[in-house]
Amino acid sequence: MNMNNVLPFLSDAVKNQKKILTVSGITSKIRNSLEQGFSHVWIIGEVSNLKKPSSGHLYMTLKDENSQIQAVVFKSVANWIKFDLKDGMEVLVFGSVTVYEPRGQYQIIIDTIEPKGFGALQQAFLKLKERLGKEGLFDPCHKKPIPLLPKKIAIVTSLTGAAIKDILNVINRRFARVEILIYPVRVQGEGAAQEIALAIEDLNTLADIDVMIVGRGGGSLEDLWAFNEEVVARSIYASKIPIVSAVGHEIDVTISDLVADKRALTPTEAAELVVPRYDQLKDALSKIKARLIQSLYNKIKTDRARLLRVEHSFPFKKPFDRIHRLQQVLDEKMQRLFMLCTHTMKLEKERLTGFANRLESISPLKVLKRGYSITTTLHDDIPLKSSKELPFGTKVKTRLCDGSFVSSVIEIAE
Amino acid sequence: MAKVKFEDALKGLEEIVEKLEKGELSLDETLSEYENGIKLYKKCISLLDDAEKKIQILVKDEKGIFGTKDFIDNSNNKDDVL
Repeated sequence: MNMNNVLPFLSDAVKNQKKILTVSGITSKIRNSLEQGFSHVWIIGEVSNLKKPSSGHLYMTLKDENSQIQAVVFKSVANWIKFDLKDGMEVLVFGSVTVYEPRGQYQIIIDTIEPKGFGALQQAFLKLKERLGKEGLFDPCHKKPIPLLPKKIAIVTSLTGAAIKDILNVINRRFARVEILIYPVRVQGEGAAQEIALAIEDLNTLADIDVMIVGRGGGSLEDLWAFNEEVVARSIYASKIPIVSAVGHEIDVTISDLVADKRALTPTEAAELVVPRYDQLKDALSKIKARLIQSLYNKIKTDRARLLRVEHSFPFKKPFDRIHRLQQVLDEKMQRLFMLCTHTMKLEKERLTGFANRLESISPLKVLKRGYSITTTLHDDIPLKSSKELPFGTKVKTRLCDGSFVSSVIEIAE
Repeated sequence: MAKVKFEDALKGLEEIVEKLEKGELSLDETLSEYENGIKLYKKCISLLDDAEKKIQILVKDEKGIFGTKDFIDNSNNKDDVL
Protein backbone atom coordinates (compact mmCIF):
# COMPACT_ATOMS: atom_id res chain seq x y z
CA MET A 1 0.00 0.00 0.00
CA ASN A 2 1.23 3.42 -0.83
CA MET A 3 1.94 5.65 2.16
CA ASN A 4 0.73 8.64 0.18
CA ASN A 5 -2.76 7.26 0.08
CA VAL A 6 -2.81 6.62 3.80
CA LEU A 7 -1.57 9.88 5.14
CA PRO A 8 -4.52 12.06 4.16
CA PHE A 9 -6.76 9.52 5.86
CA LEU A 10 -4.86 9.83 9.13
CA SER A 11 -4.87 13.58 9.07
CA ASP A 12 -8.62 13.54 8.55
CA ALA A 13 -8.94 11.42 11.60
CA VAL A 14 -6.75 13.68 13.66
CA LYS A 15 -8.82 16.66 12.54
CA ASN A 16 -12.04 14.99 13.60
CA GLN A 17 -10.92 14.02 17.13
CA LYS A 18 -14.34 12.74 18.27
CA LYS A 19 -14.11 9.64 16.12
CA ILE A 20 -10.89 8.37 17.75
CA LEU A 21 -11.56 5.65 20.34
CA THR A 22 -9.35 4.05 22.96
CA VAL A 23 -8.93 0.27 22.95
CA SER A 24 -11.19 0.04 25.94
CA GLY A 25 -13.67 2.30 24.25
CA ILE A 26 -13.92 0.25 21.13
CA THR A 27 -13.96 -2.93 23.13
CA SER A 28 -16.79 -1.64 25.22
CA LYS A 29 -18.69 -0.56 22.09
CA ILE A 30 -18.16 -3.98 20.54
CA ARG A 31 -19.32 -5.62 23.75
CA ASN A 32 -22.51 -3.58 23.85
CA SER A 33 -23.21 -4.29 20.27
CA LEU A 34 -22.62 -8.01 20.65
CA GLU A 35 -24.61 -8.27 23.85
CA GLN A 36 -27.56 -6.56 22.28
CA GLY A 37 -27.38 -8.48 19.06
CA PHE A 38 -26.58 -11.96 20.40
CA SER A 39 -28.28 -12.39 23.75
CA HIS A 40 -30.16 -15.66 24.29
CA VAL A 41 -28.93 -17.69 21.37
CA TRP A 42 -28.79 -21.43 20.81
CA ILE A 43 -25.49 -22.72 19.50
CA ILE A 44 -24.50 -26.21 18.54
CA GLY A 45 -20.87 -27.23 18.48
CA GLU A 46 -18.16 -29.55 19.62
CA VAL A 47 -16.46 -29.15 22.98
CA SER A 48 -12.69 -28.80 22.89
CA ASN A 49 -9.96 -27.57 25.16
CA LEU A 50 -12.22 -28.05 28.20
CA LYS A 51 -10.74 -26.68 31.42
CA LYS A 52 -12.08 -27.26 34.92
CA PRO A 53 -10.14 -25.02 37.29
CA SER A 54 -10.70 -25.08 41.04
CA SER A 55 -12.91 -22.01 40.87
CA GLY A 56 -15.68 -24.31 39.65
CA HIS A 57 -16.20 -22.39 36.42
CA LEU A 58 -15.77 -24.28 33.17
CA TYR A 59 -13.92 -22.94 30.16
CA MET A 60 -14.01 -24.46 26.72
CA THR A 61 -13.89 -23.78 23.04
CA LEU A 62 -16.88 -24.65 20.93
CA LYS A 63 -16.02 -25.37 17.36
CA ASP A 64 -17.16 -26.78 14.06
CA GLU A 65 -15.21 -27.43 10.86
CA ASN A 66 -14.61 -23.78 10.09
CA SER A 67 -14.93 -21.68 13.23
CA GLN A 68 -14.59 -21.61 16.94
CA ILE A 69 -15.93 -19.60 19.86
CA GLN A 70 -14.82 -19.38 23.46
CA ALA A 71 -17.39 -20.41 26.03
CA VAL A 72 -17.70 -20.15 29.78
CA VAL A 73 -19.98 -22.00 32.19
CA PHE A 74 -20.08 -20.30 35.55
CA LYS A 75 -20.03 -22.41 38.69
CA SER A 76 -23.70 -21.77 39.52
CA VAL A 77 -24.67 -23.37 36.22
CA ALA A 78 -21.86 -25.93 36.16
CA ASN A 79 -23.12 -27.46 39.41
CA TRP A 80 -26.33 -28.46 37.71
CA ILE A 81 -24.78 -30.28 34.82
CA LYS A 82 -25.95 -33.88 35.15
CA PHE A 83 -23.81 -35.43 32.47
CA ASP A 84 -20.13 -35.95 32.06
CA LEU A 85 -18.91 -33.03 29.93
CA LYS A 86 -15.92 -34.10 27.85
CA ASP A 87 -13.81 -32.87 24.99
CA GLY A 88 -15.11 -33.98 21.64
CA MET A 89 -18.72 -34.01 22.80
CA GLU A 90 -21.32 -32.35 20.60
CA VAL A 91 -23.37 -30.01 22.73
CA LEU A 92 -26.33 -27.74 22.41
CA VAL A 93 -25.89 -24.59 24.47
CA PHE A 94 -28.09 -21.65 25.28
CA GLY A 95 -26.56 -18.38 26.40
CA SER A 96 -25.48 -14.88 25.56
CA VAL A 97 -22.48 -13.60 23.66
CA THR A 98 -20.27 -11.14 25.46
CA VAL A 99 -16.72 -9.83 25.29
CA TYR A 100 -13.96 -10.62 27.72
CA GLU A 101 -12.48 -7.19 27.67
CA PRO A 102 -8.97 -7.88 29.09
CA ARG A 103 -8.31 -9.99 26.03
CA GLY A 104 -10.64 -8.39 23.58
CA GLN A 105 -12.09 -11.81 23.07
CA TYR A 106 -15.72 -12.49 22.45
CA GLN A 107 -17.20 -15.50 24.15
CA ILE A 108 -20.48 -17.04 25.05
CA ILE A 109 -21.69 -17.28 28.63
CA ILE A 110 -23.58 -20.54 28.79
CA ASP A 111 -26.82 -20.77 30.78
CA THR A 112 -27.85 -24.24 29.67
CA ILE A 113 -25.79 -27.00 28.17
CA GLU A 114 -27.02 -30.37 26.91
CA PRO A 115 -25.36 -33.11 24.97
CA LYS A 116 -26.56 -32.98 21.39
CA GLY A 117 -29.23 -35.60 20.72
CA PHE A 118 -29.59 -36.37 24.42
CA GLY A 119 -31.50 -34.57 27.02
CA ALA A 120 -29.35 -33.84 30.02
CA LEU A 121 -31.64 -36.03 32.08
CA GLN A 122 -31.10 -38.89 29.71
CA GLN A 123 -27.40 -38.40 30.03
CA ALA A 124 -27.71 -38.39 33.81
CA PHE A 125 -29.75 -41.53 33.54
CA LEU A 126 -27.04 -43.24 31.54
CA LYS A 127 -24.39 -42.10 33.98
CA LEU A 128 -26.24 -43.49 37.01
CA LYS A 129 -27.15 -46.61 35.11
CA GLU A 130 -23.54 -47.26 34.29
CA ARG A 131 -22.40 -46.65 37.85
CA LEU A 132 -25.06 -48.78 39.53
CA GLY A 133 -24.64 -51.41 36.87
CA LYS A 134 -20.96 -51.70 37.71
CA GLU A 135 -21.87 -51.98 41.37
CA GLY A 136 -24.05 -54.94 40.50
CA LEU A 137 -27.44 -53.51 41.45
CA PHE A 138 -29.02 -54.87 38.29
CA ASP A 139 -27.53 -58.36 38.50
CA PRO A 140 -30.09 -61.09 37.93
CA CYS A 141 -28.70 -63.04 40.89
CA HIS A 142 -30.12 -60.39 43.25
CA LYS A 143 -33.59 -60.65 41.81
CA LYS A 144 -36.10 -62.26 44.11
CA PRO A 145 -38.92 -64.37 42.70
CA ILE A 146 -42.39 -62.87 42.65
CA PRO A 147 -44.66 -65.03 44.82
CA LEU A 148 -47.33 -66.97 42.95
CA LEU A 149 -49.99 -66.51 45.57
CA PRO A 150 -49.41 -63.35 47.58
CA LYS A 151 -51.90 -62.71 50.34
CA LYS A 152 -50.92 -59.12 50.84
CA ILE A 153 -49.70 -56.73 48.16
CA ALA A 154 -48.36 -53.27 48.94
CA ILE A 155 -48.57 -50.51 46.36
CA VAL A 156 -46.30 -47.49 46.51
CA THR A 157 -47.79 -44.83 44.27
CA SER A 158 -49.89 -41.70 44.23
CA LEU A 159 -53.49 -42.04 45.36
CA THR A 160 -54.61 -39.69 42.61
CA GLY A 161 -52.60 -41.12 39.73
CA ALA A 162 -53.54 -43.42 36.91
CA ALA A 163 -51.45 -46.28 38.24
CA ILE A 164 -53.60 -47.04 41.26
CA LYS A 165 -56.74 -47.04 39.11
CA ASP A 166 -55.18 -49.43 36.62
CA ILE A 167 -54.03 -51.77 39.36
CA LEU A 168 -57.39 -51.80 41.11
CA ASN A 169 -59.09 -52.47 37.77
CA VAL A 170 -57.08 -55.64 37.40
CA ILE A 171 -57.90 -56.71 40.94
CA ASN A 172 -61.60 -56.20 40.33
CA ARG A 173 -61.49 -57.90 36.98
CA ARG A 174 -59.91 -60.99 38.44
CA PHE A 175 -62.18 -61.05 41.46
CA ALA A 176 -58.97 -61.30 43.38
CA ARG A 177 -59.24 -62.22 47.01
CA VAL A 178 -56.14 -60.43 48.04
CA GLU A 179 -55.21 -57.80 50.59
CA ILE A 180 -53.98 -54.53 49.15
CA LEU A 181 -52.12 -51.97 51.20
CA ILE A 182 -51.59 -48.65 49.49
CA TYR A 183 -48.72 -46.49 50.68
CA PRO A 184 -49.50 -43.08 49.18
CA VAL A 185 -46.52 -41.06 48.01
CA ARG A 186 -45.87 -38.21 45.65
CA VAL A 187 -44.47 -39.62 42.44
CA GLN A 188 -43.06 -36.47 40.91
CA GLY A 189 -41.53 -33.19 41.94
CA GLU A 190 -39.06 -32.21 44.57
CA GLY A 191 -38.77 -34.79 47.37
CA ALA A 192 -40.80 -37.45 45.57
CA ALA A 193 -37.80 -39.76 45.31
CA GLN A 194 -37.14 -39.54 49.05
CA GLU A 195 -40.80 -40.30 49.77
CA ILE A 196 -40.76 -43.35 47.54
CA ALA A 197 -37.54 -44.60 49.10
CA LEU A 198 -38.91 -44.12 52.62
CA ALA A 199 -42.11 -45.94 51.69
CA ILE A 200 -40.14 -48.95 50.52
CA GLU A 201 -38.12 -48.95 53.73
CA ASP A 202 -41.25 -48.55 55.89
CA LEU A 203 -43.03 -51.40 54.16
CA ASN A 204 -40.05 -53.60 54.82
CA THR A 205 -40.61 -53.15 58.55
CA LEU A 206 -44.09 -54.66 58.23
CA ALA A 207 -44.06 -58.40 58.54
CA ASP A 208 -46.82 -59.58 56.30
CA ILE A 209 -46.24 -57.99 52.90
CA ASP A 210 -45.61 -60.61 50.23
CA VAL A 211 -44.85 -58.37 47.28
CA MET A 212 -44.77 -54.69 46.38
CA ILE A 213 -45.63 -52.68 43.30
CA VAL A 214 -43.75 -49.40 42.98
CA GLY A 215 -44.65 -47.10 40.16
CA ARG A 216 -46.72 -44.46 38.46
CA GLY A 217 -48.52 -43.79 35.21
CA GLY A 218 -47.01 -42.27 32.12
CA GLY A 219 -45.45 -38.84 31.88
CA SER A 220 -42.51 -36.91 30.54
CA LEU A 221 -38.98 -37.91 31.42
CA GLU A 222 -39.00 -35.15 34.02
CA ASP A 223 -42.23 -36.50 35.48
CA LEU A 224 -40.75 -39.96 35.79
CA TRP A 225 -37.48 -38.64 37.15
CA ALA A 226 -38.00 -39.71 40.75
CA PHE A 227 -37.72 -43.30 39.57
CA ASN A 228 -34.30 -42.54 38.15
CA GLU A 229 -32.93 -41.23 41.41
CA GLU A 230 -30.25 -43.15 43.21
CA VAL A 231 -32.05 -43.06 46.57
CA VAL A 232 -34.98 -44.98 45.05
CA ALA A 233 -32.64 -47.43 43.33
CA ARG A 234 -30.86 -48.12 46.64
CA SER A 235 -34.05 -48.68 48.59
CA ILE A 236 -35.36 -51.07 45.96
CA TYR A 237 -32.08 -52.94 46.04
CA ALA A 238 -32.16 -53.15 49.84
CA SER A 239 -35.76 -54.33 50.01
CA LYS A 240 -36.34 -57.82 51.41
CA ILE A 241 -39.78 -57.84 49.86
CA PRO A 242 -39.85 -58.57 46.13
CA ILE A 243 -40.61 -55.45 44.12
CA VAL A 244 -42.32 -55.11 40.77
CA SER A 245 -41.64 -51.74 39.23
CA ALA A 246 -44.13 -50.19 36.88
CA VAL A 247 -43.19 -46.76 35.68
CA GLY A 248 -44.90 -45.00 32.81
CA HIS A 249 -45.34 -46.75 29.52
CA GLU A 250 -43.59 -49.51 27.71
CA ILE A 251 -40.95 -47.23 26.18
CA ASP A 252 -39.89 -45.71 29.49
CA VAL A 253 -37.16 -47.66 31.19
CA THR A 254 -36.12 -46.22 34.52
CA ILE A 255 -33.35 -47.08 36.94
CA SER A 256 -36.06 -48.43 39.26
CA ASP A 257 -37.12 -50.84 36.51
CA LEU A 258 -33.57 -52.10 36.26
CA VAL A 259 -33.05 -52.61 39.99
CA ALA A 260 -36.49 -54.05 40.69
CA ASP A 261 -36.96 -57.80 40.93
CA LYS A 262 -39.34 -57.60 38.01
CA ARG A 263 -40.11 -54.86 35.55
CA ALA A 264 -43.66 -54.42 34.41
CA LEU A 265 -44.22 -52.39 31.29
CA THR A 266 -47.19 -50.60 32.80
CA PRO A 267 -49.00 -50.50 36.16
CA THR A 268 -51.69 -52.70 34.61
CA GLU A 269 -49.11 -55.29 33.73
CA ALA A 270 -47.63 -55.04 37.22
CA ALA A 271 -51.00 -55.91 38.69
CA GLU A 272 -51.41 -58.74 36.20
CA LEU A 273 -48.03 -60.10 37.25
CA VAL A 274 -48.73 -59.89 40.94
CA VAL A 275 -52.44 -60.51 41.42
CA PRO A 276 -53.00 -64.24 41.44
CA ARG A 277 -55.00 -65.89 38.67
CA TYR A 278 -57.03 -68.19 40.86
CA ASP A 279 -58.64 -69.91 37.90
CA GLN A 280 -55.28 -70.58 36.27
CA LEU A 281 -53.70 -71.80 39.49
CA LYS A 282 -56.62 -74.13 40.11
CA ASP A 283 -56.38 -75.32 36.56
CA ALA A 284 -52.69 -76.00 36.93
CA LEU A 285 -53.35 -77.84 40.18
CA SER A 286 -56.02 -80.05 38.63
CA LYS A 287 -53.64 -80.91 35.82
CA ILE A 288 -50.88 -81.80 38.18
CA LYS A 289 -53.26 -83.87 40.26
CA ALA A 290 -54.33 -85.73 37.13
CA ARG A 291 -50.68 -86.42 36.38
CA LEU A 292 -50.19 -87.65 39.92
CA ILE A 293 -53.06 -90.11 39.64
CA GLN A 294 -52.04 -91.15 36.14
CA SER A 295 -48.50 -91.87 37.26
CA LEU A 296 -49.72 -94.10 40.06
CA TYR A 297 -52.05 -95.89 37.64
CA ASN A 298 -49.22 -96.29 35.15
CA LYS A 299 -46.99 -97.69 37.86
CA ILE A 300 -49.54 -100.31 38.76
CA LYS A 301 -50.15 -101.10 35.10
CA THR A 302 -46.50 -101.51 34.23
CA ASP A 303 -45.80 -103.49 37.37
CA ARG A 304 -48.63 -105.84 36.55
CA ALA A 305 -47.41 -106.20 32.99
CA ARG A 306 -43.93 -106.91 34.25
CA LEU A 307 -45.23 -109.51 36.62
CA LEU A 308 -47.11 -111.22 33.82
CA ARG A 309 -44.08 -111.09 31.61
CA VAL A 310 -41.93 -112.66 34.28
CA GLU A 311 -44.53 -115.27 35.01
CA HIS A 312 -44.63 -116.32 31.37
CA SER A 313 -40.91 -116.18 30.93
CA PHE A 314 -38.95 -119.40 30.35
CA PRO A 315 -37.10 -119.55 33.68
CA PHE A 316 -40.39 -119.20 35.46
CA LYS A 317 -42.17 -121.80 33.42
CA LYS A 318 -39.42 -124.41 33.91
CA PRO A 319 -39.60 -124.60 37.70
CA PHE A 320 -43.34 -125.11 37.42
CA ASP A 321 -42.74 -127.96 35.04
CA ARG A 322 -40.42 -129.51 37.52
CA ILE A 323 -42.97 -129.08 40.22
CA HIS A 324 -45.61 -130.66 38.05
CA ARG A 325 -43.30 -133.62 37.35
CA LEU A 326 -42.52 -134.03 40.99
CA GLN A 327 -46.20 -133.81 41.75
CA GLN A 328 -46.81 -136.69 39.35
CA VAL A 329 -44.14 -138.78 41.02
CA LEU A 330 -45.61 -137.93 44.33
CA ASP A 331 -49.04 -138.92 43.16
CA GLU A 332 -47.77 -142.29 41.99
CA LYS A 333 -45.99 -142.93 45.26
CA MET A 334 -49.07 -141.95 47.15
CA GLN A 335 -51.11 -144.41 45.16
CA ARG A 336 -48.64 -147.21 45.79
CA LEU A 337 -48.55 -146.36 49.43
CA PHE A 338 -52.31 -146.48 49.56
CA MET A 339 -52.41 -149.90 47.88
CA LEU A 340 -49.77 -151.21 50.17
CA CYS A 341 -51.74 -150.05 53.13
CA THR A 342 -54.96 -151.71 52.02
CA HIS A 343 -53.13 -154.94 51.37
CA THR A 344 -51.49 -154.96 54.78
CA MET A 345 -54.77 -154.18 56.42
CA LYS A 346 -56.44 -157.11 54.66
CA LEU A 347 -53.75 -159.48 55.85
CA GLU A 348 -54.02 -158.21 59.38
CA LYS A 349 -57.76 -158.58 59.28
CA GLU A 350 -57.47 -162.21 58.20
CA ARG A 351 -54.96 -162.90 60.94
CA LEU A 352 -57.29 -161.29 63.42
CA THR A 353 -60.20 -163.50 62.30
CA GLY A 354 -57.99 -166.58 62.71
CA PHE A 355 -57.18 -165.51 66.24
CA ALA A 356 -60.83 -164.92 66.95
CA ASN A 357 -61.76 -168.41 65.76
CA ARG A 358 -59.06 -169.99 67.85
CA LEU A 359 -60.11 -167.94 70.80
CA GLU A 360 -63.68 -169.05 70.37
CA SER A 361 -62.74 -172.72 70.20
CA ILE A 362 -61.19 -172.58 73.63
CA SER A 363 -63.89 -170.35 75.09
CA PRO A 364 -65.78 -171.76 78.17
CA LEU A 365 -68.94 -170.61 76.45
CA LYS A 366 -68.58 -173.56 74.09
CA VAL A 367 -68.60 -175.97 77.09
CA LEU A 368 -71.69 -174.24 78.40
CA LYS A 369 -73.45 -174.90 75.11
CA ARG A 370 -73.07 -178.53 75.79
CA GLY A 371 -75.17 -178.20 79.04
CA TYR A 372 -72.52 -177.32 81.56
CA SER A 373 -72.84 -174.33 83.79
CA ILE A 374 -70.61 -172.25 86.03
CA THR A 375 -71.67 -171.19 89.44
CA THR A 376 -70.03 -168.28 91.17
CA THR A 377 -70.68 -166.37 94.30
CA LEU A 378 -73.01 -163.48 93.53
CA HIS A 379 -70.74 -160.74 94.67
CA ASP A 380 -67.21 -161.65 93.79
CA ASP A 381 -67.70 -163.78 90.69
CA ILE A 382 -65.38 -166.52 91.88
CA PRO A 383 -66.22 -169.87 90.33
CA LEU A 384 -67.28 -172.43 92.97
CA LYS A 385 -65.21 -175.60 92.93
CA SER A 386 -66.16 -177.20 96.31
CA SER A 387 -69.49 -177.59 98.08
CA LYS A 388 -67.72 -177.09 101.37
CA GLU A 389 -67.06 -173.52 100.64
CA LEU A 390 -70.73 -172.68 100.76
CA PRO A 391 -72.43 -171.55 103.98
CA PHE A 392 -76.14 -172.19 104.13
CA GLY A 393 -78.32 -169.57 102.42
CA THR A 394 -75.50 -168.06 100.33
CA LYS A 395 -76.68 -166.43 97.15
CA VAL A 396 -74.94 -167.77 94.05
CA LYS A 397 -75.03 -166.96 90.38
CA THR A 398 -75.21 -169.69 87.80
CA ARG A 399 -74.18 -168.94 84.22
CA LEU A 400 -75.58 -170.97 81.32
CA CYS A 401 -74.76 -170.67 77.66
CA ASP A 402 -77.48 -168.15 76.99
CA GLY A 403 -77.90 -166.40 80.34
CA SER A 404 -77.71 -166.75 84.10
CA PHE A 405 -79.85 -167.00 87.21
CA VAL A 406 -79.39 -166.38 90.92
CA SER A 407 -80.30 -168.93 93.59
CA SER A 408 -79.88 -169.55 97.31
CA VAL A 409 -78.17 -172.58 98.86
CA ILE A 410 -80.89 -174.47 100.73
CA GLU A 411 -79.23 -177.88 101.13
CA ILE A 412 -75.66 -179.09 100.92
CA ALA A 413 -74.97 -182.72 99.93
CA GLU A 414 -71.67 -184.51 100.30
CA MET B 1 -47.65 -73.13 62.80
CA ALA B 2 -45.12 -72.72 60.05
CA LYS B 3 -46.49 -70.81 57.10
CA VAL B 4 -46.23 -72.96 54.01
CA LYS B 5 -45.71 -70.95 50.88
CA PHE B 6 -47.88 -71.80 47.92
CA GLU B 7 -44.96 -72.06 45.52
CA ASP B 8 -43.09 -74.37 47.88
CA ALA B 9 -46.06 -76.69 48.11
CA LEU B 10 -46.56 -76.51 44.35
CA LYS B 11 -42.88 -77.15 43.70
CA GLY B 12 -42.92 -80.13 46.04
CA LEU B 13 -45.96 -81.45 44.22
CA GLU B 14 -44.32 -81.00 40.83
CA GLU B 15 -41.18 -82.78 42.00
CA ILE B 16 -43.22 -85.71 43.26
CA VAL B 17 -45.11 -85.95 39.98
CA GLU B 18 -41.89 -85.85 37.98
CA LYS B 19 -40.35 -88.50 40.20
CA LEU B 20 -43.41 -90.68 39.83
CA GLU B 21 -43.58 -90.16 36.09
CA LYS B 22 -40.09 -91.55 35.70
CA GLY B 23 -41.51 -94.74 37.14
CA GLU B 24 -38.28 -95.77 38.83
CA LEU B 25 -39.67 -96.07 42.32
CA SER B 26 -40.89 -99.27 43.88
CA LEU B 27 -44.59 -99.73 44.30
CA ASP B 28 -44.34 -98.98 48.03
CA GLU B 29 -42.38 -95.82 47.40
CA THR B 30 -44.78 -94.86 44.66
CA LEU B 31 -47.70 -95.20 47.00
CA SER B 32 -46.13 -93.19 49.78
CA GLU B 33 -45.00 -90.46 47.36
CA TYR B 34 -48.48 -90.42 45.91
CA GLU B 35 -49.89 -89.85 49.38
CA ASN B 36 -47.44 -86.98 49.93
CA GLY B 37 -48.47 -85.53 46.61
CA ILE B 38 -52.13 -85.59 47.50
CA LYS B 39 -51.34 -83.90 50.82
CA LEU B 40 -49.47 -81.09 49.03
CA TYR B 41 -52.27 -80.78 46.51
CA LYS B 42 -54.77 -80.30 49.32
CA LYS B 43 -52.46 -77.74 50.93
CA CYS B 44 -52.31 -75.76 47.70
CA ILE B 45 -56.07 -75.79 47.34
CA SER B 46 -56.57 -74.65 50.91
CA LEU B 47 -54.06 -71.82 50.42
CA LEU B 48 -55.91 -70.78 47.28
CA ASP B 49 -59.25 -70.72 49.02
CA ASP B 50 -57.98 -69.04 52.16
CA ALA B 51 -57.98 -65.38 51.18
CA GLU B 52 -60.27 -62.41 51.10
CA LYS B 53 -60.26 -59.10 49.30
CA LYS B 54 -59.36 -56.04 51.33
CA ILE B 55 -58.06 -52.69 50.12
CA GLN B 56 -56.53 -50.35 52.66
CA ILE B 57 -54.37 -47.27 52.80
CA LEU B 58 -51.35 -47.17 55.08
CA VAL B 59 -51.27 -44.08 57.24
CA LYS B 60 -48.45 -42.94 59.45
CA ASP B 61 -49.11 -40.66 62.41
CA GLU B 62 -46.80 -37.93 63.76
CA LYS B 63 -45.02 -40.47 65.94
CA GLY B 64 -44.34 -42.62 62.92
CA ILE B 65 -46.75 -45.34 63.99
CA PHE B 66 -48.54 -47.10 61.17
CA GLY B 67 -52.26 -47.50 60.88
CA THR B 68 -54.66 -48.31 58.09
CA LYS B 69 -57.89 -46.95 56.77
CA ASP B 70 -60.21 -48.42 54.17
CA PHE B 71 -59.78 -47.37 50.60
CA ILE B 72 -62.98 -46.36 48.86
CA ASP B 73 -62.75 -47.94 45.48
CA ASN B 74 -64.52 -45.84 42.86
CA SER B 75 -63.06 -47.59 39.89
CA ASN B 76 -65.83 -50.12 39.25
CA ASN B 77 -66.47 -48.89 35.77
CA LYS B 78 -68.57 -50.88 33.41
CA ASP B 79 -65.98 -50.84 30.65
CA ASP B 80 -63.43 -52.72 32.73
CA VAL B 81 -64.59 -56.07 31.51
CA LEU B 82 -61.75 -57.87 29.86
